[in-house]
Amino acid sequence: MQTYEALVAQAQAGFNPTRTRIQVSMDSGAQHRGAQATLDALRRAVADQGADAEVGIVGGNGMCWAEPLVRLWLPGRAPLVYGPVTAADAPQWLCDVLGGNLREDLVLGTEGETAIGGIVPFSQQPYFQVQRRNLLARTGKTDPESVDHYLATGGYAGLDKALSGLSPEDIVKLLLDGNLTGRGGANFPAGRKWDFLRTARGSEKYMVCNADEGDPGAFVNRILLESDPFLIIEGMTIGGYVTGAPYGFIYIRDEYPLAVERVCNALDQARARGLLGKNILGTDFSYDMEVVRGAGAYVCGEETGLISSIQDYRGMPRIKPPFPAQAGVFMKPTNVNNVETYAYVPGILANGPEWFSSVGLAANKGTKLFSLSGRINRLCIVEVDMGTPIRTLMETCGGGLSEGSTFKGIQQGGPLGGVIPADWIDTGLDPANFNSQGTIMGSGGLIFLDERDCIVDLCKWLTHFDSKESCGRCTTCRIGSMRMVDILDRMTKGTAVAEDLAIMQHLELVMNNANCVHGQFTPKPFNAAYKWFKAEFEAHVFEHRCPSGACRDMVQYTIDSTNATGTVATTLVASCPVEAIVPAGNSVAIVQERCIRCGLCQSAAPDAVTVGPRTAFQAPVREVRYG
Amino acid sequence: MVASKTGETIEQIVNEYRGRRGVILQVFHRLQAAYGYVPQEAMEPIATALRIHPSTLFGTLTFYSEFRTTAPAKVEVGMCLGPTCHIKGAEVVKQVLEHRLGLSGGDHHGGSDVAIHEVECAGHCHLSPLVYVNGVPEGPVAIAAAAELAGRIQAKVQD
Repeated sequence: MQTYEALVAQAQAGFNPTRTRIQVSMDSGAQHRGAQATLDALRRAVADQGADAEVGIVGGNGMCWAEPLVRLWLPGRAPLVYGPVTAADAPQWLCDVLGGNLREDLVLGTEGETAIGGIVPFSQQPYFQVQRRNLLARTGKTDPESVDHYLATGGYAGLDKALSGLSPEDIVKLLLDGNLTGRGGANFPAGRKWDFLRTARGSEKYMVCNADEGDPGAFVNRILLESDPFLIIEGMTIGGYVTGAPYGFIYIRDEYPLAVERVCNALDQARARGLLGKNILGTDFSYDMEVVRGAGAYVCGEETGLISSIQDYRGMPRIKPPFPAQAGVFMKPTNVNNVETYAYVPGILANGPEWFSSVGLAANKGTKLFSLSGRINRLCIVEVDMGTPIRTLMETCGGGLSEGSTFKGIQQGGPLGGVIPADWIDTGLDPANFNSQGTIMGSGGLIFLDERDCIVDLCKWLTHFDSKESCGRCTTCRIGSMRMVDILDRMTKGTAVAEDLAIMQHLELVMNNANCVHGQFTPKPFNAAYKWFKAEFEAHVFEHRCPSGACRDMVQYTIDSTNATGTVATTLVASCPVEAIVPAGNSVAIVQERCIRCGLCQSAAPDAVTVGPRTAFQAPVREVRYG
Repeated sequence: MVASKTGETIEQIVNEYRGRRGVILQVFHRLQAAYGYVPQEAMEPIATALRIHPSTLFGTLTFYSEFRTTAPAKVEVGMCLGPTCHIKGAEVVKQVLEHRLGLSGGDHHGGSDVAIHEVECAGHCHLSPLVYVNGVPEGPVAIAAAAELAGRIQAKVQD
C-alpha cells in the first residue's frame, strides 16, 4: 500500500508537461457543441502535421458560452485557454500556435498571472475577478478521468489529514466552526447532520449524495460531477470516516450520462490507488461506495424519495419523522447531503475552517455556485461569495441581456422556487433575503427573463412541471397541483374569472398540508409571482389579455384580404408551418382552428397580417363553488 | 420481443443481480440498453431472482419516466421543455413537428416510425429550443426552422 506522499509524488511526476499539451474541455455542455469533433480533429492534425504534442482532455471551466474550449499548455509556460475552437478551425489553429502565432483572436485568457502580448490573465478579467473559485478551483484545469491529476493538484490532502490524526469529533468541530451549511437549499449545518449519524446506533449506516439535480435551469452540480468527480468522492469518504458509515451511494440523475460515467470511472481509479475500499491509505479505515443511476423522477431529489428509490421502491417521499438519520436506506441510519456540501469538505479539512468561513455573510458563509440561463447573453456556471448582488452576476458574468431587451425578473430556485422582479437587481444572493420575502434562493439555478416573457405563462409551466412530477401518494398534492394547473391554464387562455385568484390562494392553504416539501412548495411560484407581478395576473383575469404577448391563446392573427393577393398570398401560404392559410377568393385566409399562432406569417408579410385579441372569446359559463 | 442489442439475454442480466437488494434501477437500465425497453417477459425472472413481488416491481418500473415498456420508435424525437427552451418557443416548435410528422398529442410508442416525447432540462440552454433526434442534439431550432427539421426527421424515418 502506497502512502499519500508517495501517491502525490508519483502523480506530480507526470503532471507538468514536457512537451506541448493540448487539452479539449470535455463536459456534456462542450460535447453538445461539438467538442468530440474538435478533439478528433486535433488528434488528426497533430498526426498529420507531425507535431510534437500530446492531446488530452480537461473538464469544463464554467464558460459554457465559449465551448468547445481548448487549453494550450506549452512546457514552462502558463496555460492558455481558447474558445470556441470548432473542428474546422482546429487544424489551422494548431498550425498557428505551434508556429509561434498565439492566435489572440480566439484566446479567452491565460491561467498565469502576467499578460502574454495582448492576452489578459483570467485573474485580471472581470468575469473571474468577481468570482471566488473554491469548489471550481480545479475544473477546467485537470483531466476528470485521471486520479493523478487530482492528486497532483492537492487532491486527497483533506482525507490524508483526517486519517493521520484527526478524530471524527475533531472533524465535526471543524465543520461546525466553519459553519458549513447544506447547499441544496435547506441550509442545515452539515456538521450537526454528520454528528447525528455518528452517534446513531448500529454499524450499518449509509452516506448518500443527492446528485439528482432535477431543477430545470439549474446545472451547478453537473460541472462538479463531470469535471471534478474525485472531489465529491473524497468528501463522502471523509464523511464515512466521521460517521462510521462503511458504505455510500451517489444518486445521479439519468439526464447526466457523462456524470455517471465519470464518477464510475473515478471510483474505479480511487479503488485502484487504495483511496477507496478496504484499508484506505494503509489505515484500518474502510469505506466503499457505488453510483445509483436515476431514471427521470424529479421527486427523487427529495431525500426520502431518493432513499425509496435506492431501495427498489417507487421514488415516493414519505412523512418525516423518522428522519434519514434515524431510518434511511434499508431502514438504517443515513446521511443525505448535496453535491456541493460534500465537495466543500475536503477543502475545509485541508485549509482550515477559516478558508470557508472568512468569505460570505455572517449567517451564510462561503461561496455558492450559480448557473445562469434564460435570456442572458452568456450561458455560464459561476462561483461567487454568498451575498453577491444579482447585478454582478447578470452584467459581469452573464454579459447582460440581449441588446434592447428590458430585464423583467428572475425565476430562481427551480419549479418549487419562485420569481423575483427586476428591482431585486441590487439584492445580494443570500438565502436570508429570499426567506424573508417568503421565497427561496434554492440550489443555484437563475433563469433571467425579459419583457417578452409572460409571468403567468411561466407560472403555469412551473406548476405543470410540479404537477407532472408529483409522486401521487397524497391526494393533497396530486389533485391540488392539478387544480392549480387548471386555473393557470384558464388564465393563459383568457377564460379565468375573478374567483380563480381567490381559489389559488385557498389552494395554497390546502397544499401546505401535503406530505412532503414537493406538495408544500408547489404553490410557491404562484405566490411569489402574484406578489410581484399582480398587475400581470389581473390583466389576464380581468382584461383577458397578455401584456407581454407570450400567451398565444389570447391572440388571433387575421389576414387583410386587400393586401394579401398575388405573390404576397403565395408567400403567406408558404410561410405557414401548419398549413392553416388557405385560398379564399382571390386572397388567402387563416383557418383559426388550425392556426398555432406562431407569428411566422406576420414576419413574412407584415403589411398583410394583423394580430389582435381573440374575437372568438366567450365569457365562461361556469358555476364557481367556493366559500 | 425484439432481439437483444448487446447480446445479453434477460436471464444473463437477471442472474448477475440475483439475491441483491437496491439494484432494480440497474437491472432496468441494463434491460433497456439491451432491448430498447424493459420487456414484460423480464418481470417474472426478476421477481424470482430478487424476491420482490411482481406488483411492487411493476410499480417501480412505471414510476420512472425514463423506462419504456414498449419498443421505441424508429426515430425518437426528444423535446427539451426546460424553462429556457419554453420561453424561447419550444412549445410552438413541438406543435409544428407534431403537425408535420402526423402526430397529435400523447406518446406514440410500440414500434411506430416516429415518436415525440419530452426530455428534462440538462442545462444545454445555448441550444434552446433544443430537440434531440435519436439522442443527437439539434439546436437552436428556431420556429421558422422547425418545418425543415421535420423534413429531415421524415427522411430519417424513410431510410
